[in-house]
Amino acid sequence: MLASYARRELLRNPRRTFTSLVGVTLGVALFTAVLFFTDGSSASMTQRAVAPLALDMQRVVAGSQGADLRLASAIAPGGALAAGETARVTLTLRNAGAVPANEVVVNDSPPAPLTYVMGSTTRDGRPLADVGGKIPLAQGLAQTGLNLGTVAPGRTVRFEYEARATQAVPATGRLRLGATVSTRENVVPARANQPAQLGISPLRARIARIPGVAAADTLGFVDLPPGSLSAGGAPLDGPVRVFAFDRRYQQHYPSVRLVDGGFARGSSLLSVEAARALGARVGGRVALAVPGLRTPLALPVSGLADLSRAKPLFYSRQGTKLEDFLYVPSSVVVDPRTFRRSILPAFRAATTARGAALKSRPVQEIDVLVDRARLVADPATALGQSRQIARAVRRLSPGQDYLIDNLSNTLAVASEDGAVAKRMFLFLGLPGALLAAILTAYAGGVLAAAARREQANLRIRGADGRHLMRLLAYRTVAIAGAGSVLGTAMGLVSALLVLGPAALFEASSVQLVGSAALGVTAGLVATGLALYVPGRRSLRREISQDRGEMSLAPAPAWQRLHLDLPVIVVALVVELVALRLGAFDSLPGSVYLGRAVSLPAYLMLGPVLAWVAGALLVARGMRALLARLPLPTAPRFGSPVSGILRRSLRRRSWTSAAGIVTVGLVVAFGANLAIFGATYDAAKAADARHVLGADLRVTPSVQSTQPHSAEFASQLQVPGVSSVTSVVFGLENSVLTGPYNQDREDLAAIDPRSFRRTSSLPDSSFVAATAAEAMSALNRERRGLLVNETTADDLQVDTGDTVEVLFARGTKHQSLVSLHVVALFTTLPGFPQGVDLVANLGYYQESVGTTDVDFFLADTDRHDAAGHLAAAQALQSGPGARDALTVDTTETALDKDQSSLTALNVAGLLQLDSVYTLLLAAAGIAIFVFGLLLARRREYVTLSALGMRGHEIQTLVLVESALVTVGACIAGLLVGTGMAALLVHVLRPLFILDPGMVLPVARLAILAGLAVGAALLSAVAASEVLRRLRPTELLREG
Amino acid sequence: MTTVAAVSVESVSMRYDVPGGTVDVLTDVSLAVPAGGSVAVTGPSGCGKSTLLAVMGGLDRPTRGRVLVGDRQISDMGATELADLRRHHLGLVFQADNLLPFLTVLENVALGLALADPDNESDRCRDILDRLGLAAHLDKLPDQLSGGQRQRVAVARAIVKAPTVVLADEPTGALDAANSAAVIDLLLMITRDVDAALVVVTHDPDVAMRMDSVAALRDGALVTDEASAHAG
Repeated sequence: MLASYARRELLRNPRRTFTSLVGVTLGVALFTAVLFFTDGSSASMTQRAVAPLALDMQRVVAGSQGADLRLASAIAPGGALAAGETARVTLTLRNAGAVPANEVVVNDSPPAPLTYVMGSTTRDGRPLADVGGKIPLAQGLAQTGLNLGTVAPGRTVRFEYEARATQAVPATGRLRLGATVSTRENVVPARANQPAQLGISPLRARIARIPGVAAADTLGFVDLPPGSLSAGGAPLDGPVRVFAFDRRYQQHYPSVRLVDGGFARGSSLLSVEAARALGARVGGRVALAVPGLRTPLALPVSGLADLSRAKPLFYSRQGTKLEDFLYVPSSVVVDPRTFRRSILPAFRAATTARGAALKSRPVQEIDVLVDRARLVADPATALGQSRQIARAVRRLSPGQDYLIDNLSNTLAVASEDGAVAKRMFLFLGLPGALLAAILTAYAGGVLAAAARREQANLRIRGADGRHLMRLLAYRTVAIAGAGSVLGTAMGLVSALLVLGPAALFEASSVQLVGSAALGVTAGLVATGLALYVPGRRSLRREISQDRGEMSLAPAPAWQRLHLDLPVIVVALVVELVALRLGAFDSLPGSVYLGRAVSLPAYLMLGPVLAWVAGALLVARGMRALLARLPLPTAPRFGSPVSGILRRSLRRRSWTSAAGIVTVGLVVAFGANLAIFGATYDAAKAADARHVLGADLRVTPSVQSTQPHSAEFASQLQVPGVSSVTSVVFGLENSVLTGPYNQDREDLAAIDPRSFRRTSSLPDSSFVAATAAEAMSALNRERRGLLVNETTADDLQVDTGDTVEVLFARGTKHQSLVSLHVVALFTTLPGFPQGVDLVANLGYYQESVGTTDVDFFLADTDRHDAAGHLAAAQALQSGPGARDALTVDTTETALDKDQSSLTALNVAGLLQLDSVYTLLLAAAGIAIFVFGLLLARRREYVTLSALGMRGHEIQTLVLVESALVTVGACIAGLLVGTGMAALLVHVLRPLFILDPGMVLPVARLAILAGLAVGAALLSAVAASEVLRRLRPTELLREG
Repeated sequence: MTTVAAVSVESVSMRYDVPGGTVDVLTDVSLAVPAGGSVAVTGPSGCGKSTLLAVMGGLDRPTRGRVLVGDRQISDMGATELADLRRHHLGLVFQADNLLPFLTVLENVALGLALADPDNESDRCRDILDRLGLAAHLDKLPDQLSGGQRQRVAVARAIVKAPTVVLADEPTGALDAANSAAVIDLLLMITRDVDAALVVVTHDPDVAMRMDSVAALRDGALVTDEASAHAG
């Protein structure tokens, strides 16, 4: 019966039910939308993280030389040994290959619990003296092995020694024998008793059959010195890289682009640059001089290839420089058979001579392409899959080789970034959930006051406290339940609209159902409590104590308990502790460096606490102002409207303050989102511009036959482009000689004036100088040099020093010059991999005798995506139509940055949050206005009965609503700005450049305007409701 | 010569639409109260007493018939005109005091005067409250007063502007006998002082007996009308 009464009551009071439902539904919708959004976003992180990966896994076969050196180890007897008994260990080393093995080192010591029997070692039956009282096969503290020198092909070396058991050994055959062998060719020690190694082709075939592997291809390469490649007797200047791969490799890695001809057995492909330099064509021949070969290899040319973007070929294989694209323009691709049968044996022969050391040795690897479609969307699970594949690859023919697992490394970082993203997303959604609870509690409080009379009537009709409590419980469950279910559905639809079905349903159904369940449960609990607690408090009051509608509300609990002050103190303490611990100074995340973004959850606490405490504090201040409103001296009342308003605001300032707090929290959250969103976008764009160097980067294609000197820049001055600058840049293209040392450096040569005009150079990029000063100095001093701070430290160089620099290292244009260090810098835009030295372009070109530059940076008239696109199109249709040009914009640079956390759809989340914030703000204001109306309707009809005109009463409602709204906007904008400042600070590690806070005035004005509009609409609607009230009944009620 | 009644209703009927039909709350009621006169409207609950008072105060409009305050017909007036009429000529007192909780005793009364005459800075409010025995409570808020004191403030608020008609709906309904008698004494005394007509809706026979005449309502129709006979 009570349940039925509760149902009828909810249906009979649709406005009241709707008011309660609005807060619950919107809050739960926002919370669950964020949960769904997080599921969808983190699910798509796997694809985003691996998208820019050039190579999934590389099994580098180090045993390409001397792979036939085998070490066998045995122990006798093979059965049990009693303590004190001895066993004999035999090591047999055999070079079964056709070439000598150099610097062969054998290392061994008895396995525990056996100990070496002094003086027992023999080599080929002859005693071998102990070294330092220890076994000669593991000498000294470092347990260094015995160096045998060169082991000729077909030769066998045999070692024997005795070992004594310090305790009983059940079976010596089970002991793990640890002998290893290494050579100059294969520095990685190989364990004894390894199964015979598979050749590279069978190994590739077996790797290709591993489940989850889409393709496995062999790749061989070796660097040759300048002059190694020639055509018609004319050698090519500069170093040459020789690759060995087949047609399948090219198909699996399309960045290797064939521009003419094709693969043919026994033939070669030439890079476009090499072909141009040699004047070679398809159908012609080139000669390749290989160390160890008496006569150069004669190679027919079957095709030309553009390798300038072939990351799989040119990414550094060195662990510390995996991101570096070490491009070698003069390259030749040979048939893998030619590589194996001619080039590798020649290199072996070249290294046979004792002491012969080649600067570069051939590398063979199997590049593994993982079937990315089979990777689970969630990075953490995908990481498990990729590691499983890597284990399977490693298990095949283990020995003298190693695996570079780029995929797992990337997914490991993406997985950590995903966890950070979830924390960040939840943080951005959490205030929404809090707002829902606050709004629900506010609505609950307003409605509980209004429901008191009905409760009193029910008591009079015989209902006792338990009945009323049960009624309240039914009502709460119905509203919280319906609101939570509705909100969850609304949240799902919202996430669907923002993310799109494809991205959302990337998440597993378990994740989505889990989020839905969490949303419904959290909604039920939070909003249920928010509704139930004020209702219960209201019920606990005796009717006789109930002062009814016409009474002054007491100050809220937070004010009585002074909660705002300790909360602000806690927020400050959190920030100070974080500052002291250096939590804000963590390095930006990088997939390639294997570094995830560091974003401790406790840092998020600061902005949330500041938000709540700030809103309470500002509301307290505003209340204090209202409480000091001047009043006319008695008996003068003043004009009825003004007199009533002033006294009402002054003596009921907490009512206004409660409205200001509630709406102010929403506006603050909205302002925070707007500022954070604008700052985030600006920081992201600034990062992209920093990476690219300017709005646009124009790189001439390797296929272009035109010269690209600095004068070419004038051709790029198309409509939409405001300035262009030319840049020479190369990795390790120079040598810097300091007072005590020298090193290879990455040097850029720029025109300081146009570079400064085109590229945004922050002052923070320079040490002890502004950007203008540094550029001016470089412009003034043609022999000036800017040096990276780290490089300067390494080589002990400082501003004012004179240093020697070798320009165009390793080319026929190389030139040694003396330069004057004019400034030090930390980082410069346009060089994402870093740059060590910056010289004056004019002087550089004069010194090296060439005018060619590597790329151009362009600044656009309009600094937005549309402006960039228009200028890029103008470049492509103008100079790009006559010459092959690649035009990158900051937008395409952003796309390439997908693996970083900044590539996440934060904009989508902010959009989602913003829409709900506006809805919540409107709901908050509407609840305030209608709550005011509900609480004061008897006052208003009393005033009407006393002769107050309708529009005067409307003015009362309107002015108080407007005042609360304006107060809330002021409080919200102040607190939101502070909150955003903290949040931007907290999220600093996401960006390369320090993000400066951006105040989006238009968006903030829209937010405030919408709040004021919602207040006006609500006040007008409330006035209409007021007009329809039947005063007779209200005035009679006690 | 015929005396113009301070307030009169002529053949007033009131009908409400309710779910499933209509309800006749008042049926052809006529009543007139002269200036300085008083009438008690009595009858069982739901007979239409309060509705009659609301119609006389311009808070409700009759379905049929005329309501006159002095010689002005109010049933055809617009909302603003009605508000002005109440502001200047009518004083209303209800069973609930309906004092504004954020105004002091003096301010609640001053509001009544300010509505009629915003520039009035006289000591009239203090004088009336003094006469009503509330001089010691001028700066108190309504919450700080007893029920009887609050009702006396409500009376003061109604009469401070010297209305021509005072309409009181169960003004003693929530009071004990002593307070009830005191409030009625005050109402009679002050309305006579300002020569206002007093209409009191009441269940209390003692209160009814204190009035010049009694109008008994049953099922929305007037069964006795001593007032009109008295006035006429």
